This record gives sequence, structure tokens and C-alpha cells, in this order.
Amino acid sequence: MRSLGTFLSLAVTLGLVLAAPSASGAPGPARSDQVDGDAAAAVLPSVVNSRIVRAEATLARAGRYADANQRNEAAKRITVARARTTQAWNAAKWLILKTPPSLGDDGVADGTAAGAGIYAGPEDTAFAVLSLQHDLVAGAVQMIVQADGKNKVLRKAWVDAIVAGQVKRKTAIAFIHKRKKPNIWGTVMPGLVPELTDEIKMINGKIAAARPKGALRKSMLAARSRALKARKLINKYWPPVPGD
Amino acid sequence: MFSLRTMALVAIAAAFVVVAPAVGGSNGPSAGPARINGGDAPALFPSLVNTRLVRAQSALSRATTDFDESQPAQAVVPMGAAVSNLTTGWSAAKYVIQTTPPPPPEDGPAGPVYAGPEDTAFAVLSAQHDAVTTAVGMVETSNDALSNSLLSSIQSMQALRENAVRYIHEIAPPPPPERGIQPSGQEGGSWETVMPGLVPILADEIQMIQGRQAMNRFPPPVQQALTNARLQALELKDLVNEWWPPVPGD
Repeated sequence: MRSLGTFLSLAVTLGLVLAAPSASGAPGPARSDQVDGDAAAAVLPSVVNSRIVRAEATLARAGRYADANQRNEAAKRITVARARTTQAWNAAKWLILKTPPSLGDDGVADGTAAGAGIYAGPEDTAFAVLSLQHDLVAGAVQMIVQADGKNKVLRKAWVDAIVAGQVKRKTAIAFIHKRKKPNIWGTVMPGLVPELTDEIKMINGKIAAARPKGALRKSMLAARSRALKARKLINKYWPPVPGD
Repeated sequence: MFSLRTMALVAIAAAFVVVAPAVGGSNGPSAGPARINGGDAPALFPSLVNTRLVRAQSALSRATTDFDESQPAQAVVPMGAAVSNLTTGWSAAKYVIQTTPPPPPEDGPAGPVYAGPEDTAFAVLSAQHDAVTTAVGMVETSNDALSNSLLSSIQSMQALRENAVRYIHEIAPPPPPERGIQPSGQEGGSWETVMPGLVPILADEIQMIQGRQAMNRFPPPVQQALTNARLQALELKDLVNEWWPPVPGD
């Protein structure tokens, strides 16, 4: 998952300096990072990106409050992050409907924006939102403490965030599956499987460690079941290519 | 000079470093976290401009934090600080453009490489875009003070950017007949190579405003201000395309 930590460590690595965008001559917006050494990473369109960044920042603040034992404050932030995640998906959906599908140089879909160059296409953008939904679920799960399990406000905040993240993701998967012609999503969507596996592992680990009881346990088991179903759905809609 | 916390905020500031997760064959998390290119280190911006950029981005981050913390009234001050720093940042970039000598013909002494005036100016233009998109991202606020501040920030950033583009067009020499590319100021590109990069940024800005207008119902004054902002971005995009047309085949 693209956690806030990535960005924090990146900022530290950069030595507190904004780097020139086009030292190699290629114009583009100020970007301080690149993937895989050579190819410059595409930036997400602002309409979605602004929501993702704010959701991630809010999740980070929630984590800080939780670490400081201010769980009520943390729960409030989780609720805000939930709203931002929903807005991010709405924006991504708008983008998918409005933007023509991406095609690579060879005419094969590759998830990047057609011609735009520096901005990601709707496929990668949607995937970033799916990852954000995973981050929201993971962020809420990691805050669960059995001692607060009887506190209705806290429990509701955790469970609502988990349910919202998972249900919206299911809706998103169904929506994306409907756009299967041309089958452009096949290169992007299988990337969700490891994230879902990670989510399942996290929920299992939390159940084992926090030993939730009653309604909280029931909610966590339901969350695991939803993640398992989503993984099954992805494998069914976009099966892994043999040999990969 | 800058604390670690400040830079952490900068890194998560309003819009800039979330990168598309999966390009080509390597999907999702397996692609690994974003990292700096293993080759040449990116050039640094001259401190005169960089300090302003860092402070502006930090202020934008504070504004969104206040907004998301349900304290919209508190977001007014950082939003104003961002606009002020970017205005000063452009003045500083202008100074760098006017005073930077052409690069020496041979390699200079070893040490950190600083970006040339073209890349430095472009960074300011990018940051102005970031200020606009950050403000557009919060226009749904019901707080009148913040709403006014956001709309005026959008307007002033767009006006400043247009002035900057016009200034650059005035000072940029025409391309030599043999070469389509101007000699660089220092490290990085020339105006010919740098300025077309503004087009996708403006397209992104237009798309964001369109998206917000399509997905939300704003009060008429806000709706009108957004429409004006979109038209202004469109006009500037046309202007950039006219003055620095894309190279065929790129």
C-alpha cells in the first residue's frame, strides 16, 4: 500500500529540497520521484489526487491520535478519511466515464493516459483509489482495541470505515468489470489481489492478537469474508496470466 | 532551516507526489514504493525560489489539514500565506531569470547541480497550479471567509501565472533557424522544451474544475467563479500552445 510513510521517507531522502522537474529536458510538473529508475512515474489527475492525498493525510493523523491514546479523536479522523475516500472514488468514476481508455504505443492498454504523458490514465487512477480503500480498511482495522469494543461510538467509527471501504470497493469492481470492452483493465486489476491478501492477513492477525468479542468479532469476521469474496471476484474477472 | 515535520507536510501537500501505481506489466504493490532515480541526481532549485516553494506547499498542506479537521476558518490564513509565498516565489524566479549568466562551455566544478532559470520558473508555474487545484478541492466549504479566500486565491494565482507566461514569452528568444532548441541557462531545458509542459498541467486543472462542477452543486457565485477559472485556464492553454507549439513527433 502506498502509505504516508512512503512520502515521509521520500521527503527525508530528498533532503528537504524540491527537485527540478525537468533536469533531463523533459518538461512536466514538479515531481520528486520516479519509479524503476528510467521511466518517469505518471502523476494522478488532480481531481482524484487531491482527495487521495487528503484521505491519506487524515489517516495518518488518525494514527497519531491513536498512538497518543486519544481514540475518540482518532475515530473522528477515520470518519473524515472515509468521506474523502468516497469522494475519491466518485471522482475516479467520473474520470472513467469521461476519459477515453488508455492505449500504449503498441495499441495495447497499459493503464497510462493516452498521449497525456505525465498524467495517469483512468485505469491507474482508479487503481489508486482501490488502494486507498484498502488503506482505509487497514487503517481502521489497526485501530481496533478490544478494551474499547464496548464503546459504541468507537466501534461504529471503526466498523463503518471498514464496511464503507469494502462495500465501495465491491461496487467499484463491479463498475469496472462492466467496462471490460476493450479488456483494458486486465493489466491493472490483478494488482489488487496482493492488497486483498494483505488485508485478509491483517484482519486475521488482529483477530488473533486483539481477541475481539461479541459484535466486534462478528464485524471483523464479516470484513474478512468480504475481502475474501472480493479477491475471488478479481481472480474470476481478471484471472492471472499463466506463467506470470 | 526546515524542520523534518515541515518537509513531511510538504511531501503530503495538496497534490503532488501520489504517483500512478501500476504502469505496464508491474502492477500494484509489487511495483514497490516510489524512489529517486538511481542515475543523475535531480537538480536543486536556487534557494531564493526554493524557500518560497517549500513554504507555499507547506501552507497549502496546513490549509487542507485545517479544512479536514472541520476548522475551515483557520484555513484562511495558510491559504493566504501560500498565495503570498507563490507571488514572492515568482518575483524571485524573475530575478533568477534576469541575473543568471549562461552556463560555462565546459563542466563546472563538482558539487550540487542547480536548476537553470527555465526549470526554476517552471517549478513556480507548477506550484501555482497546485495552489489552484488545492483551492478548487475545498470550494464546497460553507464558511464564507474561506470561500472568499479560496476564490480570490484561484483568481490571483491564475492571473499571476498568465503574467508569468506573458513575461516568459517576451524574454524568450525565438528558436534559431538550424536548431529547434535554445541553449540552456544551466542544468535542464530551455523555454522551448520547458513551456509545452504547462499544457498537460493546464488540462489537468481544467479537468479538475469540470469534474467538481459536474459532481457537486455549488451556489451560483461559486459556480460562476469556477466557470471563469476554467475559461481562463483554457485561454492560457491555447496561448501556450500558440507560443510554444508541440514539436511534431513528440
